[in-house]
Amino acid sequence: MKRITIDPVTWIEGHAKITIHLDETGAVTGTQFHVTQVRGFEKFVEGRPYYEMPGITARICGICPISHLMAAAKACDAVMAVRIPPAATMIRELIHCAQFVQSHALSFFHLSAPDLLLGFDSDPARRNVLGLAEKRPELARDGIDLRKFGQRIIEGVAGERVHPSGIVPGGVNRPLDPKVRAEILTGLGPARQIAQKTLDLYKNIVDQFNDEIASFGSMDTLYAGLVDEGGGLQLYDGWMRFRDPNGSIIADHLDASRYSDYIGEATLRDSYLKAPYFKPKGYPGGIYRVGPLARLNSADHLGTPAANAEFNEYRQRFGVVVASSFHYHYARLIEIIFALERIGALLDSSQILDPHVRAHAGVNALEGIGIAEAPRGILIHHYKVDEQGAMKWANLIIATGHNNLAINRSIEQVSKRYVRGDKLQEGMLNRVSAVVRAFDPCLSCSTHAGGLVPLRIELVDAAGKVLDELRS
Amino acid sequence: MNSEADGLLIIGYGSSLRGDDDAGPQVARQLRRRGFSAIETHQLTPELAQEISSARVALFVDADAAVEPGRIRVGTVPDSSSSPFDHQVSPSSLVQLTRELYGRAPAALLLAIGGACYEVGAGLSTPVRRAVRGAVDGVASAARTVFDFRRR
Repeated sequence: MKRITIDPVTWIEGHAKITIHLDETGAVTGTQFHVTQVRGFEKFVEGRPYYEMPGITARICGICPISHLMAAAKACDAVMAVRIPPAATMIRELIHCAQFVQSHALSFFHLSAPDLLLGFDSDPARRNVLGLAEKRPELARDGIDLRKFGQRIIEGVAGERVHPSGIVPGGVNRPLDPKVRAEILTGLGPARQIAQKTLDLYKNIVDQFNDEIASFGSMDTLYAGLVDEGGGLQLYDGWMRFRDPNGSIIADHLDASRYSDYIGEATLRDSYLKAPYFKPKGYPGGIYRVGPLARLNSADHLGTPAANAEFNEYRQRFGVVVASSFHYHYARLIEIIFALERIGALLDSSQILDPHVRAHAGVNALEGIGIAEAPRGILIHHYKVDEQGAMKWANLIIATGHNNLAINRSIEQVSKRYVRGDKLQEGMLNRVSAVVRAFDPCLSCSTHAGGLVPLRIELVDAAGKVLDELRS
Repeated sequence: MNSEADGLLIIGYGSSLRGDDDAGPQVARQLRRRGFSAIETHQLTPELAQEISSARVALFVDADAAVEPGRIRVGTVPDSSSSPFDHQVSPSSLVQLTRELYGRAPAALLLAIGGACYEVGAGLSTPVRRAVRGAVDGVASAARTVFDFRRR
């Protein structure tokens, strides 16, 4: 048997490796997606005061720290047994939506657009954001502008652009400044124009990728997302819902406290990333997906007009349950519009300026669970504390973990479609990496390490001899 | 935020939880307190291109495991041998992206501080703490005397 290793996978958050096993004829027999970093946050927070958890867990990532801040703050709210003031809820959602805008913009414009607009088989030396800047500078600038818009909101409302201090247990630590509100409203129109223009562009090109759509994780799985009482998409709050591939809702209105009744966590050999599954269906039959594709599959509607119109068109085009992971890109662009519309709606309410933004309390419960949608999918923080509020135990289920089984199966499907023979082809390899990027996984890069070879692929025979190698 | 009057933008990057990796952000923070235009960030990302496009000089400050702990090395930004955009951008890629998108780019320097310990929660080691102070004083002095940059 022969083996191909992609190590590390590029253009994702964190480090991962893909192994592709070939038989003697060069056909793919199986694949493995390994996450090779140990994070250890759950262990080293033990003994820390619970109220430090938002600040600590936000450092899990430099791209989506807001999601951890939200889930952690909500778990702390539960430990304090407080209901946070309405303005605090609105400000948190405002920051959360800004995080979706900037994170989704990074994923689409800077990580995936080079594949989509320059071509999966184009010169790898130019198939990146620099190549995009050369060929489509207006698009690269749009991506930067949209990301900056999201970051300016985060910085203006919550204090700092990457790891803001404004989201705290019990609410937020400052009311919204009317000047900041006015500044955001000024930038909202141009941001929405960029988002709509980009979605229109994508809708015009998506049919060029029918072959990839058919093989990029086009499979039956369950889908999970947060929805409101009426089944509308929710990002900051809401109940968990699971939908099956036939469109039936198989679990609904699940609040955070019930997550462990429905989600089990399997341990995989050769990977530090656990593999959550839908407990009632067991492992691995309970495979499910989260994130933009799964959220749109789970919801009945989107609660804002422009995004809902796009959602209806998307469903008319691909069906109520959209199976291909390639369509994460499409769903992500619709969600940018949704997040921008929510930002506008929140700012239109004068209640968001209310100065009462924080509830104060000590430890009133020895356990707290916080749940929110991260850009990549459902994020769960579960804490146990002692009477003094010291952390005794933590369990974090991150979005990419939920997708672990689905990413593995998607890699296998793409590999079987594109990988043949002993000689590696760049376009082949790139499609394997691209299906991982479609999920926009966040494997948590907490420090930057220089000198890494960004991409290495080895073809190794059964005796361990390297037959071929590609480097980017 | 960058000030057009200054022309010098300091970008310190690294993880604030990873011991000496926090050297870059610490330098940026302390220089900002002294009135310089400085950005602290976890990692370099493409949108920084817009901010550095109006600077005359961009000074990147980073911890470097290849430099002796506590030593400071200043030089031009080296060409990147890695992918132009991985999960982070290198200083040279960022400068190149800036030039491509905005038609201009600043002169770029890299101030590397040798780090000793990158363990989670470790804080700055003693030699790096001293080096951070030295870097802050050195940059402030050079900015005024060598480059004739004014503070905000």
